Amino acid sequence: MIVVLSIFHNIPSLVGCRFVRLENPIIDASFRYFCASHGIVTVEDFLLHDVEVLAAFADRQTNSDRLKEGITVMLSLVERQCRPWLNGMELLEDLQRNKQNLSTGDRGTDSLLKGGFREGQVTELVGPSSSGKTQFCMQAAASVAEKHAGRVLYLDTGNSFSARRIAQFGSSSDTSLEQKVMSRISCHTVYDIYTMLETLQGLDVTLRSQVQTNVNEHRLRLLVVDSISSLITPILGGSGSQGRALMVAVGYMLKKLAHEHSIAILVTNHTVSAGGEGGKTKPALGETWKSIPHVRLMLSHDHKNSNSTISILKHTSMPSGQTMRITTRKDNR
Amino acid sequence: FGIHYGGLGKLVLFLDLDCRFDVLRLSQMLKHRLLQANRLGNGAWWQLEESNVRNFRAAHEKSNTAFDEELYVSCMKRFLYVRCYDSLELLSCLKTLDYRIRQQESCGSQVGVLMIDSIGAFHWTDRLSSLLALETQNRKSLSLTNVVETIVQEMKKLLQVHSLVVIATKATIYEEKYPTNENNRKFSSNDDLSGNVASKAQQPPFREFMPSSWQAFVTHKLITRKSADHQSLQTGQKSLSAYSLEWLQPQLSSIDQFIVDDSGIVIVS
Repeated sequence: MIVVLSIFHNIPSLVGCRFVRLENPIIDASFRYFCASHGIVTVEDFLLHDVEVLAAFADRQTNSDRLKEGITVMLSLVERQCRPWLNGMELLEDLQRNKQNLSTGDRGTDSLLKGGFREGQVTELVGPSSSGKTQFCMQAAASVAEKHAGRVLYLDTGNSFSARRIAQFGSSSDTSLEQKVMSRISCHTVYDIYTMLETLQGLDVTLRSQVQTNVNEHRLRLLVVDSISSLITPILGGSGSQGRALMVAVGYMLKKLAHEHSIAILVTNHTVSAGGEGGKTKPALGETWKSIPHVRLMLSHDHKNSNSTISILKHTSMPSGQTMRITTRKDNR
Repeated sequence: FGIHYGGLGKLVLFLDLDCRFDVLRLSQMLKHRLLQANRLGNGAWWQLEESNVRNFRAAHEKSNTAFDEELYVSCMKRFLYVRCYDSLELLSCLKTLDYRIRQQESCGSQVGVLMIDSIGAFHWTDRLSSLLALETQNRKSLSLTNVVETIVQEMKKLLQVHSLVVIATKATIYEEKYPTNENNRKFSSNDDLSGNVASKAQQPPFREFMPSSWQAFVTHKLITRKSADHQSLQTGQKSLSAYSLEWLQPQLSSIDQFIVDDSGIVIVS
């Protein structure tokens, strides 16, 4: 019970209690009393009720016209809170204007993905341990910081971030430029999912309040979470809904951040046994997680010949199954 | 003479609950279909709908490999999209949908289909709400059952006054032996519904997680599954993933196989 309450405390938006101030003369005491008598106290209650049935009840009252006006005001309030509908052309325009493709730092991967990571999308990199996921993440961070002059936020869950290694991915030998590029990457260690949610919510608030002076200069373009599965796996135990609900909350927080702030998000996941014969593996985090990322990539590393291949498990606009060999850069230049 | 593109020229309302919709793919598919139609040439002109007839001269002026840009744009504009990040946003959207549809109708556009992708998106979140909900007398709690009941209620009201089809996708959220995806369809009261009384006593191949209010609302059900990879001999491409399509409601004995190519779904058998 204590665990459940703490979940509630940490993610207020999950069980939304958005109280909206109603400064409208029609929403007066008698209207509120009428609503309360039908079990409607908040906007959420209003959403769960049948408006026509409520209007029918209002008809029976002496001040029925005024009450029905109140219902109309409530509906227009709900309407104002809705996002506007966009048509196909407007969606395309937003894509072309605001959501660019970011190079992953590896030419092979870029060509496989027809450009790279797309801003606005969540890309998941799945791979067994020591398959090179962290290397891939750091290479991506270096690439975005350098080639796209963007800021990178790197959330590290396993103390595997290495500034030295990132610097090696840089292509210039000019130390002052290298310093500038490195300064665009900030790394935070996150050890549990609650801290993760707080960090993401804080990020959302910061990004919303930032004044857009120079839109493209050093804005946050890439968010890396290495690895997201290590934060989620501990809470997924059992058949209860709490763990999965938290996982979905994180997933949607990521999708929202990606879309609304035009950020590319890269998360890593490990593999688990797929059962059956042949020692097959599948991505961890289960069935529900599959619907979260836009793009799912599988990284496999052959230790015998030091070859790495990356393949598309799922993509929103490309068929799955394509693979590409990627180069693994050695530690020393 | 003209080119028969097919289609109804109606609006599509797309509720993205999964928040993964990629407009690039829609654009790609549409362009391919328009190109295909152009290449296949002229159809019998008396069968064409007025809105889809392009006059002979205009069609001839454009080359074989180009598609009609103006038509493409007008088609893309008929696709209306909105995202919902949780059930409350979905309910707000559904409550104001009637008004928005009427707005469109007053401009002369008809809504043909309402799509929801996917209906189980907020399942776990709503179940958690059910756990945390405080049961006060008189007030409805924000539980999974209440949310879905309200969704069904709002959609029923829409179907009563508007002639449209509702298509919802549903993904599996429990580990299954055979990973599946479902498509549910509902027809408005204006359509002819053939009452299918006989139902085979078969075990459903997936675990149903939607409340009974939703299950009762669904009139048609399709299930898609991944089947063995398919060799595409025509294009000479390496194997494309193949999928099977089965009607569960009404239950049909035949199972279709399809692949997905640039222009969308292609039934292969």
